[in-house]
Amino acid sequence: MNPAPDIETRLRVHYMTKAAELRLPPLEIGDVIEQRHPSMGMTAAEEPRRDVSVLVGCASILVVVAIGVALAASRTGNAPNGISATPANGSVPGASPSVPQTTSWSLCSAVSTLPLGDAPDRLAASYSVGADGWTFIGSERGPSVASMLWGRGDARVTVQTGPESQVVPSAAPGVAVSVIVTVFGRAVDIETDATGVSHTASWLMPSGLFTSVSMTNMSATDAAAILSSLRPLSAAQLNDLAGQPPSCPRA
Amino acid sequence: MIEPPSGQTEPTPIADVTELFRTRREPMARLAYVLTGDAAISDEIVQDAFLKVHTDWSRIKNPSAYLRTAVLNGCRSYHRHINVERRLPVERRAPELTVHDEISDALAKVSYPRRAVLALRYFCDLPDSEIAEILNIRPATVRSRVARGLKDLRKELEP
Repeated sequence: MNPAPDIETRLRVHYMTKAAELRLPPLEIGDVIEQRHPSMGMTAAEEPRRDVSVLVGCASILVVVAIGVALAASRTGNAPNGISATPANGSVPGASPSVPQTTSWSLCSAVSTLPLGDAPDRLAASYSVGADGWTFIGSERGPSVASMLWGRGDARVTVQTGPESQVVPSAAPGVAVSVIVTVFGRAVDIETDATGVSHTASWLMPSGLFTSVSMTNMSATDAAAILSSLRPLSAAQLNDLAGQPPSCPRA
Repeated sequence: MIEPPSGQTEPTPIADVTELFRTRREPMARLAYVLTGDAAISDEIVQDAFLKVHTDWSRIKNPSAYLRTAVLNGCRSYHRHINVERRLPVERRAPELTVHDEISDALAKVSYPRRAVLALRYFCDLPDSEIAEILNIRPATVRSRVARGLKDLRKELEP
């Protein structure tokens, strides 16, 4: 039995789990410019006149100042007629809710039902990261992924799991799946990107599920050993995991 | 206050911005997502940030750092906006469809300045000096916000 993870560790796992949930639609910078700021593509002749913009800007400032003065006056009981401190009705720009994706939860359920502090031998065997002194620290579940945190000394490994359909939307179920390995921390020297903060690599595996491994404070040797020890789940293991309840209870 | 430079310049050499967009869009969106908890909003914030980079490209010395600052500014504006929205009557608010968990709920009760520092340290793994530079605060303030943010979290998670 291991002690419960400290708040910093839980926070790291939480952030990594949350980040793994995000799925961005394909987009090019040209589309962004065209959709969100069409005037950027205009020629100088087509551009709105800058002096008009300045006038509009000054007028806006004057209006804001006038409203501010009026509101201040209203608080002292001297509100002019027609001025109200009540916010205006209407929709709020940029407040559209995100729509949760429909997913299957097989491996996620398996992880989320694990009691904190107990080593999940079955999953450890599946991923071969429980050996060599690595101990299970805890687990964290998000809406679409779940994480297990392993530790050895100061090093930390997070195994994240989730439905394949969110990673490779175009792949047929059970045919192809991405294994995403994300490496965090400056001590790691495995294909880090230009910023040295993180890197993602992908492989195809015939399992129908993906796993994401995040590493913190990891030596390059340890990281390489863990990456090389990753194995795809066997059909029997997948069937076993798929038999878990089809939901992720709140941790 | 984080304040990226602004102003009108010549159109951006699109190839460079394209490369930046391809390599930094996803990491920046993930940073925005851990700070806002809303995928659509995060994408919008990052797109706005890239527009700022596009506009100011010729005057930017470090586009990645500029982009990150612009994203953090966008997240801060969003939180201000949310705070205003929370004061509106319930029927005007957008429905909350986000699935909550214990730490998300606890983080939601931490003030945004502390939350931003926590994300930069524990998600981006940035040192205090770099966080201080990004947020334009002193390193001691970074340490103070981290300590207070963690204390807030402990208070929520370990009552």
